[in-house]
Amino acid sequence: MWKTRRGDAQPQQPPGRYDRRFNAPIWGQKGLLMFSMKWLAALALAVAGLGAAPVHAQAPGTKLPPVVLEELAQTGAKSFDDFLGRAVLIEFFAYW
Amino acid sequence: MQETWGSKGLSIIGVTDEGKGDTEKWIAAKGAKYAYGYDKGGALARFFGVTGIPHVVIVDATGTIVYAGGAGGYSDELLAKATAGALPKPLWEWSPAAKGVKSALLKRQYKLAIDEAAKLGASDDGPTIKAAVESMVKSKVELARSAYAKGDFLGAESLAQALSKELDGLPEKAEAQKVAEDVKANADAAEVIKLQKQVAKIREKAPTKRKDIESALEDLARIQKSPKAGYAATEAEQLVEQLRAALKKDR
Repeated sequence: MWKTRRGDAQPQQPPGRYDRRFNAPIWGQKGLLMFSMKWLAALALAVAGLGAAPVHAQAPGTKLPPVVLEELAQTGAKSFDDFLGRAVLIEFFAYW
Repeated sequence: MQETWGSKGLSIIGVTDEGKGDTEKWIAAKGAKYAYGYDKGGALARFFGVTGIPHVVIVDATGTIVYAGGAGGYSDELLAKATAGALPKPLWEWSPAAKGVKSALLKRQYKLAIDEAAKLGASDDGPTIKAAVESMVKSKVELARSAYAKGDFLGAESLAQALSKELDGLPEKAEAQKVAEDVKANADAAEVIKLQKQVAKIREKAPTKRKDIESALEDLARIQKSPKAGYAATEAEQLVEQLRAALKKDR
């Protein structure tokens, strides 16, 4: 239970911002915020549609263009150029 | 994997366009040990048409893409090919005495790199570095030759022209020049190169709107129908598949 400024008891609701008109959560808890943002990102990708499609995909056999990576970590390499002469496996990843 | 393939010439690097804070937390939580860097703005991911994560690209020691796709789609055999002629130690692990070789390599001055490597003793990995640089040179010339053999005249010509400068003072320079001369002497090459450039131009434009893609498909069909398209038709076909996939995805 939680209380209004006047001290009236109100039904239990999770913390977060609420739309007064519908007594419905706008963003709700952090989890909901993350969930909504992921859906927004997915929606943006869907709207972008073809922008996300592999139109630029480079086929095997083509030369790698100059690569610019920022803030290389866990390596002695200062830039991608330092991998010269090495075979390189590049793995695109995301933390989520 | 780094332990198995690292000494054979493979470096593994993770790339993300996510934020630094969340990524660092994730790396620490996972205990990931591999190198990683930030592709801010996602330019590299766009270049490779990355639509799903994880996405893997393997580049061989000559800088040629040999694989692009899912994380489980490559074999040990492909890795063995990719690491053929690769430097067993990355540049930053070389002894400080090999500074001259490193500097020459980064400037693509292979003769100087070999000469500098020859000055190094065994304790500085001199013989290994010299052999690796010589192997790199041979692989590059072989790449130009194989491009010519499969009819990729544009690839062969541009590589041979670059090598003609980079291999100055080395016997392999003549081999690179021979590839450039072969392209020039080939009766079909000029037309194929012209069409290959048209395909490359369409790829660079990277059309995303339906009408632009449809127009690009028409242009590519025209290239494919050309009686002298040769390898340009193969490249056009690859791009057609990608563009059709993009259209399908848009439905």
